[in-house]
Amino acid sequence: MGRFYELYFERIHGFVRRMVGDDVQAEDVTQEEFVHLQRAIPTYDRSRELSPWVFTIATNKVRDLWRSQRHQQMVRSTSLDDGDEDGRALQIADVRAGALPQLEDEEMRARLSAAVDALPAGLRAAFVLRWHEELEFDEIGRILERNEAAARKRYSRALSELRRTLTAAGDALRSPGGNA
Amino acid sequence: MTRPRDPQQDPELERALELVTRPTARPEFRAALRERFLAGAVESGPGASSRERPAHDAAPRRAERGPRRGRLVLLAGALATAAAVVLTVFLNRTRPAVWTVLDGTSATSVVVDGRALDAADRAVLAAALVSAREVEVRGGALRVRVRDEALLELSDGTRLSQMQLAAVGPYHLRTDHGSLAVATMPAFGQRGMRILTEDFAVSVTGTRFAVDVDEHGSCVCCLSGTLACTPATAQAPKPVPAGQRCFTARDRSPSDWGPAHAEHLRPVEQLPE
Repeated sequence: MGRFYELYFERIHGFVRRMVGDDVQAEDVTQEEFVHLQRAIPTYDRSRELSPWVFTIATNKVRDLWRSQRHQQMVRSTSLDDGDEDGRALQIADVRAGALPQLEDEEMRARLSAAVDALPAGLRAAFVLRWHEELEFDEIGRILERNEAAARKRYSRALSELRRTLTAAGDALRSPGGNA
Repeated sequence: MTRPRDPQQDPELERALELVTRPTARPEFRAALRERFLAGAVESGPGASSRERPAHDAAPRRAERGPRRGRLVLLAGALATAAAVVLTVFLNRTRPAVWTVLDGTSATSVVVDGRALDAADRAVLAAALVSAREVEVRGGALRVRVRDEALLELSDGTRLSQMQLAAVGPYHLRTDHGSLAVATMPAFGQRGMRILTEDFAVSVTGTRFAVDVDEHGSCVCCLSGTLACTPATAQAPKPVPAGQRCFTARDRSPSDWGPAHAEHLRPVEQLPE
């Protein structure tokens, strides 16, 4: 169990933190996840891959949090459907339209991290599960209750949006009023 | 690290994305949750996935068992099962909401992170408090329970900031102004609580006490248990035992240690046991 914890703590917390955007809530949801895992591990089907199972539970915990917040009208509606295929949440520009700005690593890291946090939830989940957790698209699709093609598309759109954000930041820096 | 190839093959972006790391957890949260998780660990857990664990991990040992060893294994299994049942019951116990607004609340509104909420709508208020960093009470007192670990009463006009009351790890908050009554509950255990004011820092491991802050200074009065108070003018904490107080003046004159103020302790006494 120690090994399991070492393997998954940072991954689960990192995913949850990206999704809920708040340190305190991330800790609460992460703890909920491990309580759930503790309870569910005896019934875990060992023929299944572990990571998708773990992240499905984490995703459901995040959904539960959002549902409770929506139910209590505490936050604007947030959903893993955000940024879905109808494109309502994004206006994707030509992703090859401009070069990425030349920034110091720390600034680039900060801008990218903020850009990831600003992605619609559905795209953000697909990005984190693919980029950080290296899950297969069919696994991501199952976690997000979509098919493989939709998961692939979400990831692609997340990358497009990140590039668009960075390119826009570079344009701003190069403009006369920019800091560059 | 070998990254998965994205559908767009955008090497420039991928190089930039290498800079994006996972958000990291507070080390104390990581350690505390690990301790709890392992304390509840059952031996039947998978340990690691089939992807990450050698396939021969468990099966060969079963074939080596003799009759005596089998009985021992059965006994160990029974004990493990019993432990698992106890732990499952523990972990499945009804988990209280993180914050619960209690009867005895007379406030008309509570400002949570700059947003005024109707105190009568307890569910909304409780949900907002989960991630609150700053709270200010208006029109009366606010009485709340944090998980099943602590009861707080904030008098009219009390303002708290820098609030960190996470799932594990010590509570941390600052009383900017007003009166805060605190009673820890048995489940608080050794979690610890640190309360700052303009004039002192109070460390708590389980007790009932009140912190009162006004323009003249800060006072902590202890009803039961013991807490440690470090005035702004001091280097080391001093204990404040039951029935005693520490008042630290804003003008930084020497702190005043003596019997607790009855009026400060009254809200604490009224918090449910």
